[in-house]
Amino acid sequence: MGKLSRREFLGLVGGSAVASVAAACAPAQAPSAPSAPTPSGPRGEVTILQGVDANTLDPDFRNSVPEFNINAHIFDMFLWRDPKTLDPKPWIISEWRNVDDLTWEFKLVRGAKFHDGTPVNAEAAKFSIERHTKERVGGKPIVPALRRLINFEKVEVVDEYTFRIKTTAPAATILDELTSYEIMPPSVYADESAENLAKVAAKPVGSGPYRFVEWVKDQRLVMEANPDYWGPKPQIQRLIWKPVPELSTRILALQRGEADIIVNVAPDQMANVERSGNARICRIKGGRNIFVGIRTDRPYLSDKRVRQALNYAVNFDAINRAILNGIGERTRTIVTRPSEQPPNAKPYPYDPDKARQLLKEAGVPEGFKVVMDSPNGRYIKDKEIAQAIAQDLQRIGLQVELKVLDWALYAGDMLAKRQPDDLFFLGLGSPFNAQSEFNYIHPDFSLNSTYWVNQEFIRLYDELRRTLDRAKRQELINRLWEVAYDDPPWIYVWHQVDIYGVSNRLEWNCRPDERILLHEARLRS
Amino acid sequence: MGVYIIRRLLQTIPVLLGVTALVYFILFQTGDPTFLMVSTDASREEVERIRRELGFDQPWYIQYLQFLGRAVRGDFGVSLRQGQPVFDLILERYPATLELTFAAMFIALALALPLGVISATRRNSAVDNLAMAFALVGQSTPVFFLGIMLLFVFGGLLGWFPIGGRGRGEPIDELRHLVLPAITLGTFSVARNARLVRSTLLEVLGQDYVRTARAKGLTERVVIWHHALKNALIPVVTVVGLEFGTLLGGAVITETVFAWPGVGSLVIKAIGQKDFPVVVGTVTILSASFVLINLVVDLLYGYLDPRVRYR
Repeated sequence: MGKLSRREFLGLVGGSAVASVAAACAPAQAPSAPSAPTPSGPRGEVTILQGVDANTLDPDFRNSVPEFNINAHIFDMFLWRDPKTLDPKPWIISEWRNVDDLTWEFKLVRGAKFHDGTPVNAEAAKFSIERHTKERVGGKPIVPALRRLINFEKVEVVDEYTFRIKTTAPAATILDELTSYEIMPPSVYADESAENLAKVAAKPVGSGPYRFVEWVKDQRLVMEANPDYWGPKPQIQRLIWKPVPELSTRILALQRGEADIIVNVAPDQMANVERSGNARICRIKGGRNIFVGIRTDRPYLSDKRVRQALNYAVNFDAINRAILNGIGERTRTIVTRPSEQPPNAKPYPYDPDKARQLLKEAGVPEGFKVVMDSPNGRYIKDKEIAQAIAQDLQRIGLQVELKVLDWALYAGDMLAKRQPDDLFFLGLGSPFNAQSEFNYIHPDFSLNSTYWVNQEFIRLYDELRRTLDRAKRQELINRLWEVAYDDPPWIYVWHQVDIYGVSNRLEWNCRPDERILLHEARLRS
Repeated sequence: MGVYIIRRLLQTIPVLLGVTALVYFILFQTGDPTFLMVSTDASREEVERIRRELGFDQPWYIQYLQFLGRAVRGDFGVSLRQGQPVFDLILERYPATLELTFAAMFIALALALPLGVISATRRNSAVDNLAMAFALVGQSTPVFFLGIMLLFVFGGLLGWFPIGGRGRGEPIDELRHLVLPAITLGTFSVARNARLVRSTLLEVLGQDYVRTARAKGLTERVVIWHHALKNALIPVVTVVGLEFGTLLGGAVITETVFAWPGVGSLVIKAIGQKDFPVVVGTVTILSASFVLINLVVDLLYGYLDPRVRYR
């Protein structure tokens, strides 16, 4: 390995504490487009260090990014998400069409097989969709989010490789949703006995480019290239996924050559990784939207001028320089997919004078007290950013009391009860479609604690949900953002940047959707 | 003796009841875990349904009583996140934690005894000062910092040991993975025990029977290792026993730094994910271990000091 200087070491030790906590709470990552197969076949071994181990690999019980990352190699998701445009692309579903507003028809690739040798066909797709939309699997309750998100009614087999999904209402985001759901072999997953569920939770069987080999919990999960894969052949023979909660340990392992990809590198550790000489940083603006929610049911905060003032008061450039090592940029819009972003969206500028004037117009008394909540270690530099925002708000004449809480308490108590204080710091991972992103500020969203109700927004949102026409949807998206910008329920802060350490021996690119996918990765010779 | 043991074992019941009730009460003050179990796109109705079906809408004491009802039958429930019986999860990881704890204790005693004896027999010498300075530093260094330092120097710079994990199953490989976490965990105990051995040995060396032994013409080595040390070790045994329990629980940080797959890292993850059954199950098992170790220590007393008899 490259030797570490004293300075690098001190930086590593000093920065590790905060980073390690952030690592444990890491957010999400699906395939980049297929490429040509390698004539020489797969070779080598790649080790990926994630912050935590998977809890389960049953597609209907998993709910964390590390679990998705593992499953995305053993299974095929129905569709692929393009890493640049973030648009859904064909994958094991090779083509689709709208039969009518309430019927989608999908065709599967021909000749694909699950790892147990059974065929990937429309019956398997029907089985998988039905399992994903159940309220219980084997008597255990699950959240059938897919059922609600796509207004699911039923799924029908048309022929060996064609199936249709019927919806109760137009489901414009169905393609997006299908990028996150696995196709599973009925031969393995139809048995819902407790014994079989325990078995498949630990030994998944899919149709993906990698076959499950072994999982020693909290130590390693090993998978090997599937030589019979229907799609682009994997170019790495063996993948090993290990949980390492502590960032300093992950960085040392990367520098020593014991790891090839590490997650959640803190901004102040990037130089350490790169200076080692045998690893590099891959960083990319992700979908995790970091904001400060505003309780619009509280005195003065119900006035949109006050909420605008809070947005004008935040000096994000200073935060970026002092806390984020210059990697961030202020939220321009909460819409993340480039093709859906309102063309004229711009961030709130830093304008403390205007903020003071707006507060004055709204009749907010000097020294008006607000309480702001922040988690510690859940998001990149969350507490530090919250402190800086609190100071900015004090500069425009507010008195801010900052309450920093452990995440388990923050989420389990305050958010669950929807009773945060006046302002609350939070981050939400993106589903990468505008409709779902606007849902985050809709009054019906389960985690929405702003109590923001804007009738124009609700009307436009309902229309968006019913609309399939792309041009019409874009108009509605643009208009929705105008409303959410003018009458902000949040202080818009930034979209978190995802930072990975990557061994120089590996050709791999990070994605904006927090997914670690090695379908195209290869080792340099 | 048998009656004593049975009485002591019965006494563990209220201890365990108290610990588990306290853990349950505290956990439930931090809110119910349903929100952390479902994805952000779950609707409020869906969250409510899951909460109801899992019984988290019940008061904490009802849930606690339900837990007790199952626990007396040896059923600690099923992990909310992993779907596996809690007892199995703990059993899977307990050997790793025990291995780490025993190794740490071995290192602690192997170093503390000679250090303490040398310090006591060469009181106020340079060796004594050096040993006690080492003990002071060892006791003052946070485990987290020491772990990272050792990883950096012996794993990163020198490359002598692997970085984190428990190895792939081969004995030599596993031993190499064990060394750094065991030193990290054991250092605090080296410090404490060396100081304790020194002070108790000094006390014993001033007693009449030691003077008598010396007067009989026994060599200094025999006097110290054969006569004095046995009595000096009695308080050490108490501390070692208690420390074993502390190390079991204290392995949490070491396990996190070294990605050691033990009970400590299991419980840390469970706390973060509000996996209540795993937290309560782990705390119960660790508490029971602690109580049992105390019992063993008390029994050892009788062996080491014939004046102590159990009734």
